[in-house]
Order: sequence, then structure tokens, then C-alpha cells
Amino acid sequence: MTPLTINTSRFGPLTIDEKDIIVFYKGIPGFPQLRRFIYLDRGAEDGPFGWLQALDDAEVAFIVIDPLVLQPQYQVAATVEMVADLDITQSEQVQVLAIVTLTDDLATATANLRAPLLINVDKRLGQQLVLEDALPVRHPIFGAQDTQQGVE
Amino acid sequence: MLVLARKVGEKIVIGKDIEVTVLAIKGDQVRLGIEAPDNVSIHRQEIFLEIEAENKRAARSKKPLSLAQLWEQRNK
Repeated sequence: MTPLTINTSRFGPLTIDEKDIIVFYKGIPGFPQLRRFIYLDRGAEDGPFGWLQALDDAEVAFIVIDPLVLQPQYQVAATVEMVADLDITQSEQVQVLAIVTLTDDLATATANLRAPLLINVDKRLGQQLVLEDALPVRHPIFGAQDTQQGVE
Repeated sequence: MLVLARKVGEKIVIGKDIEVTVLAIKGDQVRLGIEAPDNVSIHRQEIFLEIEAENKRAARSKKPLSLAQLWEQRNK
């Protein structure tokens, strides 16, 4: 497999194996031109969070989290269209991630539970799915009561 | 764009499987009933704009010194 290197703004140069690339052939809303991403799991350093780094724009990376960590009852029903688009044949192939918005005030970080990312980990295909359920686009990760404490 | 005028109780049929019924009109608000197969997703248009805007905000997230530490704060 051909390794390639990109110079990311957050992580510096990264050498990536082609087989790790996840293709979002529709891009994602707001970034229709970004088709290739890799998932960075930096282990203990990031806790339950991961990063989805765009390969076509080294400045763009999304913090992501498994929504089940925030809401244990969170369920996603993939649409028939999504199943076809991501070539899903078994539910075990699917990884669900929520995009996290982190502003300067870290305590107000939110996760988008309304539009999760669905990734077929076997086929390396991904897409953002807008759910019909009235779930929040900005689910506070730290909860209303924690915003008082903040982060020093 | 096809423009149709409908009164309360009247319907529009789209394709073979989608039906839109005008259920009520109150002031400047129309209440619509939509019947469609499960594989057709239905959304208010604003949600796509909201998702797009939120993705753009999220893409600007900087890398904090420690996401793990941030997470630990939450569990205190």
C-alpha cells in the first residue's frame, strides 16, 4: 500500500496508509469538496474523542465522539439510501460518530446528535446522515450544570 | 418550480408514493401532513442549513492541550 504524507495544521506531518482512508464521496454539508478522511485515535491523550482529519484540506479536522458515550440509548436507523450508499451488508460494519464543536470556552463543547457520521469500516465509506428525530444539533457534552465550573 | 394553490383538506401527490395534505392554516402558518415510504427522508429545509453551519463551526475547533483532561473534568 502506498503511504502518503500530509502536513496537517494540528498534528504536523502525518504519514497515512491508503487503506486507512475513509471516502465520503458526497463530502459533508459545508464541505462538499472534501472526500477523503482518516480517523486519528490518539489513545489516552484524547479520552473518548477522536479526530477525523481531511486529506484534501490539511487545515480541516473534526473532533468526533461515539454518541453512545454521551447517550447510552442513542440509536441510529440507517436509511435504505444510506445502506446502499455505504454498501452496508451487516450492522457490525457501521461505526457511528458525532461531530463535536469545541469553541474557545471548552466547557461549552457540543456534539451534533442530529446528524451523525456513519462509516462502513470494512468498505471505508462514510456519510453524514441527518436524522428525522428531534435530536439536538448542539448537545452539551458537559451538561447545563457543568458550565458553571468551566475549565481553567 | 411547480406552483399549486391548495385549500385546507386538499392534497398533492408527488411521484407514486408521496402525498402532502394541507391539514390546517392558521395565520401565516400552514400545517402539512406528509405520507411517504420509510426510505424517503423528510426534513424542514432549515435543518440542512443548520447542519452545514454547525459543521463549519466544528471544523474550526482547535486542538486543546488535552481532550482527556477535559473529559475527566466532566466526570468530576
